[in-house]
Amino acid sequence: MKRRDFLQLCGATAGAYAIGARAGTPPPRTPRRLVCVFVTGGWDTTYALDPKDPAYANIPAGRVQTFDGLDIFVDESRPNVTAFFERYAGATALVRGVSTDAINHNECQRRIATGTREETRPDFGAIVAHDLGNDRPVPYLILGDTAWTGPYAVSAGRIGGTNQIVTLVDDGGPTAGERAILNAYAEASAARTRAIRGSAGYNKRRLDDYVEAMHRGDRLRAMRDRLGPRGDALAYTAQVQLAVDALQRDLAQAVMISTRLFWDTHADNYLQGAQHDTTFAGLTQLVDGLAAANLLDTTVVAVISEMSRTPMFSGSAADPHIGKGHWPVTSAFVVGGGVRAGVYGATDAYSGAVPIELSTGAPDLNGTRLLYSHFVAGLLTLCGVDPGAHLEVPALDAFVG
Amino acid sequence: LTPTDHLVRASMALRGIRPTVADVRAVAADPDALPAIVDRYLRSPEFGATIRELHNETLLLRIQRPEFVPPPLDPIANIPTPQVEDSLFSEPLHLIEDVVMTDQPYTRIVTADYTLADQLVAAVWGLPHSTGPNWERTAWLDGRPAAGILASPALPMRYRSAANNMNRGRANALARGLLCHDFLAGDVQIDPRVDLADPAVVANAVVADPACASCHQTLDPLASYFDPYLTGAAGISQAGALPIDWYYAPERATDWFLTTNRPPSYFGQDAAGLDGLGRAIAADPRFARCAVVHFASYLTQVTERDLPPAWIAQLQEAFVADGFNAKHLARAIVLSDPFRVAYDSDLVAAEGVVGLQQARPAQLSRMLADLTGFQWQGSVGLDNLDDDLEGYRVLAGGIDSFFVTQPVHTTTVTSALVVQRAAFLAATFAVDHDRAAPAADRTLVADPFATDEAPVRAELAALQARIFADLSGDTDATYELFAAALAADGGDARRAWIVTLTGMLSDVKAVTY
Repeated sequence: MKRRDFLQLCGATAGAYAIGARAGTPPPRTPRRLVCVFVTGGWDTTYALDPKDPAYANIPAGRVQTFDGLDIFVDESRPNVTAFFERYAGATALVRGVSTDAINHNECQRRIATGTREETRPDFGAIVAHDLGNDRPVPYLILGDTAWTGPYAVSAGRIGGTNQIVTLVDDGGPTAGERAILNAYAEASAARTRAIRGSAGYNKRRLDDYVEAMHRGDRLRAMRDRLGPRGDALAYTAQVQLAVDALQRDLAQAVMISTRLFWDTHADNYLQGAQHDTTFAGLTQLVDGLAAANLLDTTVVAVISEMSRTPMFSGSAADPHIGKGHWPVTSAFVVGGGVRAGVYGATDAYSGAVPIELSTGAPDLNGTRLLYSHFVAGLLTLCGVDPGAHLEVPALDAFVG
Repeated sequence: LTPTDHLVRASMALRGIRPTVADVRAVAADPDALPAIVDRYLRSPEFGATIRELHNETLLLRIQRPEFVPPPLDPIANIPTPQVEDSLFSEPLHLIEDVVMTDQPYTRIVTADYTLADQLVAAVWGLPHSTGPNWERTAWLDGRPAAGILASPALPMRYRSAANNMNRGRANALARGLLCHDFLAGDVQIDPRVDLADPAVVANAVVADPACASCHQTLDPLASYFDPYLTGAAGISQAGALPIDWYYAPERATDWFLTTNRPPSYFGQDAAGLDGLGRAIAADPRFARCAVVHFASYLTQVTERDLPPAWIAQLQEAFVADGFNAKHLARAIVLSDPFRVAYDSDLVAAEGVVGLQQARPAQLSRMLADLTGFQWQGSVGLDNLDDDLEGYRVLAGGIDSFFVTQPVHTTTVTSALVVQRAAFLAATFAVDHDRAAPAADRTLVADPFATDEAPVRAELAALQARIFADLSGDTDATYELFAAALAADGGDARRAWIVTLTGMLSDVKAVTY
């Protein structure tokens, strides 16, 4: 077993987490809440985040506008992009030129979310939730579809595609008094099993999870009114509302949201315009909501997509499959507490990633190619987690204020 | 593990149901009775279901995506879409089950000259089928080569290929699922000078650029085998009538001239057609090893990378020497030392000892149905523990084969809630059934009216034997539960038995093994 694996396995307890810390005293960090908006499918960064010269890329209608030092591509057809940056550019760090080193959705999603190539590792939402908010009823609230929980599964809760979780916490089962009796029985049984073969290691964690999950369930029942109605798949805006509410009421430390839009546009790349507008409208709603709840200083909003689109249309006008394919260099941005606003990383005219100096995020031809893992490590730092306990790469932490 | 604990683990791993009391007593009396009991388990229909579930975890076929299946058309217009999805994506899994359960060599999953269909699959693809409701053997009528699951449209449907992807995603899904060879596992550092938007540039790069060609020289010829299947995002969702006879078209087999520009070949080896591909896969040592790894990982809940290499090599050698008999492989696994590991007192070694396996959602469903007769179904008849539209499969730790592709082998807040709700509903069903039924027809609780201590303890001892395989007769813990419930519910025997049974069915001893 590798040391890292051992530390990861041990990470289910706070004591073990301390084992995983790097040698020396890490600088004090402010623990923060996290909302991740996962734009799954691959956004076309030429629509807003990474303006390109039309000589080198097929770009939509629009112009470059600078908001507090952030150069953003905007257009009247995407008013919500403009509106978002008008309000929040001063609290936004935009990261360009993040290489995911793959062009397959699942592979890239796993990399940009976990900072690794491994399916069994937790994503940054699960890490933040486990390390910083494990006392919450559902530390990592997964409202969207795509998330990796790894060894921190007990700290995560999926609400289900149609908010099925509300059915599970609704009345109709045992009464509160009966549940107390059942819990006492279950805990005693777990204790007996622990005495036989659960005092250490994997077995102990399974039994710990069994008891812990039961109590989390009871706490979730008590918060039934915060979970909304059962029904169709939660739309993006409904997820935004639920995320703010969940953080405000200390239901969760981290929330994962999906835009539930079709971003893998290929031949329908024109759809990216409307989808950018819808997404940024939701982001404004989200950040407004966090600000209204006095949570913005203590919350990080991370907006990621696993890839971007090829800069040029493929094929010819006669080709029915004309469109934009997968591009392994993407952009991301973070908004909120502790963010040092600005632009970090870069792409060249051909949309290739430019090497950077990780400590500043500035282009440096002798620097480092910015990888997904560097970005995730920086994001963990921003949230107040020691990235060295989870990833074996240096962090792009230039955007940490 | 003790012999009876070993029996429980074998029964749950192979069938997803608890052993009968008779089996528990037999093994308690003579531990050498276990192998014969395991042989019986391997012939059960529940093991067939396990085979389907195991292969769905590796092939990730059973998705719930309406846009991936035909629209409502006669004669299936009135069938709920989730049932259409379930049948169409399960078709190759039923073929694999048939190969395994009829003791054919496992290699037949890629060489068989038949498939299985229910009425719905038969209607969509135009396959011969009787009027019966069951899955039955049938055959493609379009001259499709004998290639087992490779001849099935389910895999190409599940892994739709954009036209410019040229079936590469399908090829990788095949390699990952059958060979444990994932082309995507490595880093792909794209040379920014390569314009991925220009098909001509890409076509040249995958041949001439070493960084690209290292994978594409084997991936692309593998992808070319799938040319007979339709590419493009829309696929069969735009079908105008049934049956569909255009999704597979043998005349497209030479389209590689227009797509990858590489003729079909198997890792540099000549192999013509899908049947040639199937034979090449069957002869590849990676196929045997991959099957062993998948079976061993599934049955032990040990991640593939943590399986002992020497054990896997030993199993692989025996599997091949035995003519690829998958039942024998499963038997060898569940009777092995690595399977019956319980715990380790060494703190570091204990990290790698999976001594408590977690019941998967499908196992939980079968276990509750077997014990109580309860089926937890949603509005369109799907099992709530095998569905994510209305049901709770992912919330219970299962996979949806699309967004969630790794099961969770521990208790989470949502899986705890699912187990508690399922246990309560099953307990209510069983108690009400048994209170209404004559004594001879009761399924689980022989004396559901009992409230006096002696008959209650006798009943609890019987329930512990059935649910926990516990023959000790020590009923103090469960009697304490019953007595507390009876007191809390004002002497209501029905409610006390429901609460007691809920506790036992959701006990850690019931949901782990």
